[in-house]
Amino acid sequence: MNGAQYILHFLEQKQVHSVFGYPGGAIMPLYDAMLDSSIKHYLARHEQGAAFSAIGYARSTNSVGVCIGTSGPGATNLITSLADAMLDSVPLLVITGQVATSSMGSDAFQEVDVLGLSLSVCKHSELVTDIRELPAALEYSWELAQEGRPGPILLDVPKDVLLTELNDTDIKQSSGTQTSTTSEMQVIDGHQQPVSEINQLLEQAQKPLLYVGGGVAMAGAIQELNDFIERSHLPSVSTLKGLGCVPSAHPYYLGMLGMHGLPGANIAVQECDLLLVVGARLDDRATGKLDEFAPHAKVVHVDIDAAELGKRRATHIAIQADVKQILPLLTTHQDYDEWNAHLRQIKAEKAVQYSDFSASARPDAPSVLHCLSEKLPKNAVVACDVGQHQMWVAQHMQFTTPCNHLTSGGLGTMGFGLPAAIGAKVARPQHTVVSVSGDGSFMMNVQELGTLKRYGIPVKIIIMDNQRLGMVKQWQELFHEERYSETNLSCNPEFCALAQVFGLTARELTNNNQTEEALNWLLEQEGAALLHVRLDEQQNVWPIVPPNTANHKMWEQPSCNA
Amino acid sequence: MQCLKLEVNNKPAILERVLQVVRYRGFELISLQVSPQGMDMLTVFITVDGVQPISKLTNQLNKLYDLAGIIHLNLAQSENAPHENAMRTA
Repeated sequence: MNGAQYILHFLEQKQVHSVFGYPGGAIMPLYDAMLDSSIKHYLARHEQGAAFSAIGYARSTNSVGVCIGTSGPGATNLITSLADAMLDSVPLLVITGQVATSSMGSDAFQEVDVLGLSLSVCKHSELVTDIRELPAALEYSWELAQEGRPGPILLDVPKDVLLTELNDTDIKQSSGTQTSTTSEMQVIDGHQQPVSEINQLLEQAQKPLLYVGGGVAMAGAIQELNDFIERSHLPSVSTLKGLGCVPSAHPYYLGMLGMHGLPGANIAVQECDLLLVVGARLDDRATGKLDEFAPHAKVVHVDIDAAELGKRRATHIAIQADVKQILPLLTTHQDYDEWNAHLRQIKAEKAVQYSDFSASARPDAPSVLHCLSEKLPKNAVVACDVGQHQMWVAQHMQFTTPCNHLTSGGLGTMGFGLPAAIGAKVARPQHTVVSVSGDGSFMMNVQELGTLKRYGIPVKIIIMDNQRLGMVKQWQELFHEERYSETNLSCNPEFCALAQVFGLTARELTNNNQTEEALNWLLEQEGAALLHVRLDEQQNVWPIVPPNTANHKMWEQPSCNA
Repeated sequence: MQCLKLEVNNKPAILERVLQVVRYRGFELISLQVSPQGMDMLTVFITVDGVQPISKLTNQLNKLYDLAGIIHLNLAQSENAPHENAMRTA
């Protein structure tokens, strides 16, 4: 068995059924071996698309996604996706071919220093120059991708190593990393305080609030979270990546906080006297102006990554731990009735009014997405791109788990949606998968329509088209004196015709009163289909917290735009 | 200024990893001293300057897979001693 065959054998042992990638010179031995492997490879049309599909696969199943690329441009094309996985804590195993060891360092054809490039976008990376090290490298990469805070791992394997025979007697054991700590050297760890101190704060608090991040679902702790909410009656807000952990209809749930958060959520954070942050990193888009974030609150922060504790906001109690282990230990005897009643009132006053689709008008983006959400089965997956439509999805669609809401949260990568949806549909073929894009984002990885066609993957695509780079346009309008620089995309192609060329069925939605019928049409299509929604370019995302502003000073929709 | 003593696996790119974390997390490298320790390990002393608490750096360095141990050498306790001595006697 050579190195290439061993990699595939390893993946088979790990029950990997599907991988995503793109071949090339240095990785050819692996693709050759693939012809004799049980693993199904999905050929993307760009390495970035392949890795986003692996991310979609990983996020929709809470498991490791696998992606393969070649050296040089193959590897550089993966960098954006690796950064995306790094910031959103997605477990990936990425294998790149490298030029042969005899050519390395000579500026050979399609040679680039992949290990060097990977350092700031991977949880860990290795260059495997000795076939005997390959088994151990694969094994600890697989474990490392998932353990603690998940993330992407890259293995760069030169072509000659892929072709070298591996004898059982040659296999080196793991190099013993992190077990060789001498008695003198100890890893600094200042983040362990007893859970009982959290419970004391909960007893003392009048206005406690739970801040739910994406780490809760990654830890498999959704049930533990909801059990805690049921016994404590704590109100909660969610980050973008935490959406789906708490049922959106739950009486104590206030929705997403942050720059485009719901008013009730942002006001609750600003008024609370105890903020219990679980599985989150207090990202700047969530906190708004940090100096004025939760100004009255003592902060309790529980996260698996010690480096996030106190990183942006000082904590009263910080615990580095698996939230699944901590949540069952939390308890309170308070009822917080007054606080909950106050928040319920704000939530009701600020509730969004959706269109009844009776009027003839341009489609209303929030209402279209709210209607879509009502029509989708609870186990459907929605992938989105980045921009206005991404925030409308977060605000107006409902999810039962973050695994069903694939969104590029940390890196904010346009072009994420379609390939992520492909990965999700490969992973969960029995579930409906919808990709919601903007017209700008859709064009960023439009070549992945070729992947849909090649494999007949029945993803449903909605393009929320305002012929603009909508979010940038919104900022130009609100904060740059309406100086619209390079955000007009009225030159867009005819999206329906484009989709049809790739074998999709397609139609437009141009009038609000056709919304239900158009969405029904989309969801009834057997194969891949595209719905092109022509929006009014003036529609903006509300509310919005202006930059460097406290979250409670959000701007709400002007009445003239209502 | 703060001084850290790191024990790391002697793997390709390990120094790049350490220095990349130092730079990205907003610390200035003042000095660097590397010496082998046994067959497979390196001892790395770094002196850094920065406005953030040193824990912001050590917490990030702790996440490096090839880092086996880290000690924050308290320079304040050996103010009168030469800098190198402070590192060596820690």
